[in-house]
Amino acid sequence: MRLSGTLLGAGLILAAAAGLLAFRPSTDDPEAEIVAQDLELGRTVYAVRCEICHGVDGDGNGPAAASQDPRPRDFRRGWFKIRTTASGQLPTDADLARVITFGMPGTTMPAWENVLTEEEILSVAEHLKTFSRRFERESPEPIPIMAGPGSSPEAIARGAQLFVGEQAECIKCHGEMGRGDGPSASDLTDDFGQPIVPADLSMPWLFRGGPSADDIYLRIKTGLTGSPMPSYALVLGDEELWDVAYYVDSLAPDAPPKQEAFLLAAKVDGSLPISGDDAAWAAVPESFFPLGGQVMREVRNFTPAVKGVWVQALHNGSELALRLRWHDRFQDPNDSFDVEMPAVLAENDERPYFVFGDSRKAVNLWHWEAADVLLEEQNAHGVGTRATQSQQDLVGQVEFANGEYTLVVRRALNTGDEEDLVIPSGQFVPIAFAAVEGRSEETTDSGAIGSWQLLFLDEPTPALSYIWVPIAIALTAGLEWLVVRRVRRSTSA
Amino acid sequence: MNRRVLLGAAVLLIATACGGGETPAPTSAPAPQPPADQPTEPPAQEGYQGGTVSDGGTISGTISHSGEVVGPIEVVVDKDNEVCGDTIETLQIVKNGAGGLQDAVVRITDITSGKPLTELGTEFILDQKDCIYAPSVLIVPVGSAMTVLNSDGILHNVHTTPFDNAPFNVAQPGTVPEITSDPFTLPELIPVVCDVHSWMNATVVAVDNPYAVLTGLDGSFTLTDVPAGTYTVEIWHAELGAQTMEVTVEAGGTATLNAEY
Repeated sequence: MRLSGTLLGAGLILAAAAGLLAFRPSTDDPEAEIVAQDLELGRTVYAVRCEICHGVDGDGNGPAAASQDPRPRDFRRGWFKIRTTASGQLPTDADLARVITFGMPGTTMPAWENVLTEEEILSVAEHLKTFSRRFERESPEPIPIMAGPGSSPEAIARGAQLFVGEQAECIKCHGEMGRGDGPSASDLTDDFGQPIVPADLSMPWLFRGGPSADDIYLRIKTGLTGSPMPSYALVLGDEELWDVAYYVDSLAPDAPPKQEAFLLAAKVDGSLPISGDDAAWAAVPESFFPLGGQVMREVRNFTPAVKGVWVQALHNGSELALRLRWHDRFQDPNDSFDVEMPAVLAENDERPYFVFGDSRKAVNLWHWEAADVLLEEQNAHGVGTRATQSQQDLVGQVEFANGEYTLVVRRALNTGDEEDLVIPSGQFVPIAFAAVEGRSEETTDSGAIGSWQLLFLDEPTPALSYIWVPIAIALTAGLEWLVVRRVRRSTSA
Repeated sequence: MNRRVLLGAAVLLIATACGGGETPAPTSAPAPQPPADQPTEPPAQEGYQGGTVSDGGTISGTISHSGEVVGPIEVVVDKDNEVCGDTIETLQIVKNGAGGLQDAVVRITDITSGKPLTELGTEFILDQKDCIYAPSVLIVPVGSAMTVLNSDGILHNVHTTPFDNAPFNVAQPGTVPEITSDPFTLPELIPVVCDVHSWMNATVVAVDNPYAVLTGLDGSFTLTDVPAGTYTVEIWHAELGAQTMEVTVEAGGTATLNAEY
């Protein structure tokens, strides 16, 4: 069974939330003592499970490391992001065990809870400590923490003030809406010299250390060692740290977005909206579609910048309008977006290859590009085969603000162009999305892409279908009455 | 504002002052920190014994640079322009007309006893002013912390990336004029950066003996009260790198050490 990205994300979030409870730092936690840490076992587990990414010497340079972003941790310095200890201190054993157990969402570090036993996890954590001599010299202790007072509108308002104000200035990196697009976001590197971007705080399911307010509070208090994220323990009190944590928590939806079974385009009367701000969109449900790297064809992209797209759809019987919203930290002329549909619907429901079509079956691309604010219809039958259609039928509008694009694009259902798909209503139409963040050297065919989804143009039920039911009931009842009457007559006769 | 109590938790190797005598073994348990209001007396480090030096000698000389100086390097400021200005010009190599190289570090790396570590001073201040560090090179003895000032009134973060010492990455918003780092525990060169303003960088030279000095405007330096003996001297410059020389000091004498990049 394949889990969808969203389900997986939700699972990780649940797992991480559980993990916070399970590995809550406590100096008198007796459980840590119950399971023996066996260095020999740890070494074996490391060799089998960890070495391929983290390297024989723990330098984060294993054979599989090169294509990963973030890169696997180099253990030799004792720099660990997810800790319950003060800035710069080593992690506790429980901190290491937690990350191994639940993994790091948004990275290639998987959760090992269903693969390794608790003894194996604690043992491999012990082995990790042999890579840095600091573990021989230092004895990390959890930083004193304050239990969360509970979120409230007041706490969130105070947190917002700190977030944007001079007392914390989180917006310098994370941006006004927390999408990781602040003025200092563009040239950050981690302590190993790798480029790094600030977290998009509206996507907590990708938070490395877990999405809960408790996790957020700890990250702000302890910082993420090895990254630019500093500790605020010296400059904000615990109440203030909680206020900021609750504000950050409020930037995200209550639950990770669910991936819908299909994208429903409701039918409306009159003209369709062209602006992303149009009030008509307010009533239209939004579906989230996660995007992953284009890893099927050269040039492969294992670390795409755009993580997903929120989509709304409307039609009026003659035109289809899509409102697409995606996060991109850095506005760039090479930013682009594609809506993809088969060029024709095959009768056997066979679809073109989702990576921009294949040699036998072409796709229509509704292609938007930031440079020249280009919006054009293209056809493709595979990577690197895009061709601009001779007849252009798209209209649209795009906005960029606070690290988010909003694109509205409209096309006639039947354009009369033989290259175009005639988009039918009342049946499922394959649709896919692809996004390119130009700054990270992604190219048009090597950005983020999603597999085929289903678009369904709703057709209001014809009034006649409401009339047929009562007529059918009346006819049946009438016939029955006739039959009953005849039977009664014949028996009484 | 003294935050040493908060910070003290991170000090694990270096025990508190113990009369300038014994040094804890590297594996010793963390020692309690002194109360916040008492000055932290730099402890002796394994391998170096501080004490009285009688009839010591002097090492003096000039570090010079004969190559081309490229620059100044101009950084176009794209954030906090009201405080940082529109451009920041930095000279990676500063020298006088005669080639005397400023801000090179001259230090003895293999001395085991001599004057007390406290000769280096008791307060080590790194200021963030106009979005650059002053000074750009700061010598700090192990056992001591650095005080970081924020004269800019905007967010900086103080971020060190050492190898042997514990790293440090603390936000210093404009409302916090002063913070104190964790004390440095082992000698090494430690980069300091501000991630908010990527052009800002400095170096902390953590040393385990007091025979370390920065060259002045004319490239000259003097190390005094050096016990007689032969020593390895390392000359280091942030841009030009390190070179080492041997020097022999006689009791009461002056040894001359000139080096050139």
